[in-house]
Amino acid sequence: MNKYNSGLASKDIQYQLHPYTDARLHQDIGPLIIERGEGVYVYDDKGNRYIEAMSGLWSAALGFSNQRLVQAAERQLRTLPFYHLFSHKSHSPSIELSEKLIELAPVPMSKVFLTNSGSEANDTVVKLLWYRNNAIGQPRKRSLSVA
Amino acid sequence: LNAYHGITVASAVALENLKIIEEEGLVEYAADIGQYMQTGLEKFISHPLVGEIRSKGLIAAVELVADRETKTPFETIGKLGRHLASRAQKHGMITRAMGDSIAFCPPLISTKEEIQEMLDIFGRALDETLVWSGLGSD
Repeated sequence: MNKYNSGLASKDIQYQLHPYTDARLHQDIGPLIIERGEGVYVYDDKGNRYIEAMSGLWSAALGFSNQRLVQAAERQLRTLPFYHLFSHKSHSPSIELSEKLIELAPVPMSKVFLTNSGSEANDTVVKLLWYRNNAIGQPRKRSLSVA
Repeated sequence: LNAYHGITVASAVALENLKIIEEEGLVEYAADIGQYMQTGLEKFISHPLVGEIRSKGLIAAVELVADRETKTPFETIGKLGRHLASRAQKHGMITRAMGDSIAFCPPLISTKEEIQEMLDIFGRALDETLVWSGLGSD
């Protein structure tokens, strides 16, 4: 591991397992450590600039340094850094967000159910379908075909 | 939209994100700049390694193949894609190879100049990948 100048790179190889990565090859070539972002560009720990043609993972729609997003996060961290929606609890950010999402939905929809990820969203859809079938008296109707 | 069970900070940022997209007209802008990107990518359709180009708005994928007629991959699936992505990274662009499909999904705020830079680096990486594969020689 002494071929790496950066201690972070060796620690990455030692401690992290990366998704979508050839783990064996990673031991040889090590990570590209991204340090900061500005607009459509990100910079690695050696100061090299990269244009981000994937918005991260399809996600940084506004690029990497939008100050309004920073301020929105900071405002919320100072007011109420965490709260959930279990057992009838609620809070204004999720209420306002849900209203906005229904307003934007391309087909008529009535409710938003916020989850952690796409995987969990699909999982939830299956559970809701089972729940519905139970409710209409068809508890044996449980298999799902996905096109 | 990942709002982690609707926790406060993620929800607040997600809402602000949607507001900015609306206020700055980024949906309409992305349609325009997406057209520019698509026109630029279409120029690669005659390249010996390009089997197919798929796009919608500001999202696109260019599929690399060893044989343009049969769409046969080069040796094993993912080999051309991985090589191209590593060349692109060398030249200052991060993209993602999904098998042999090279994905493009630049931020909605990308300027024409930035899209052009992306296309230029892609072209360079594509040519280098062709040389590396040895496929262009016959």
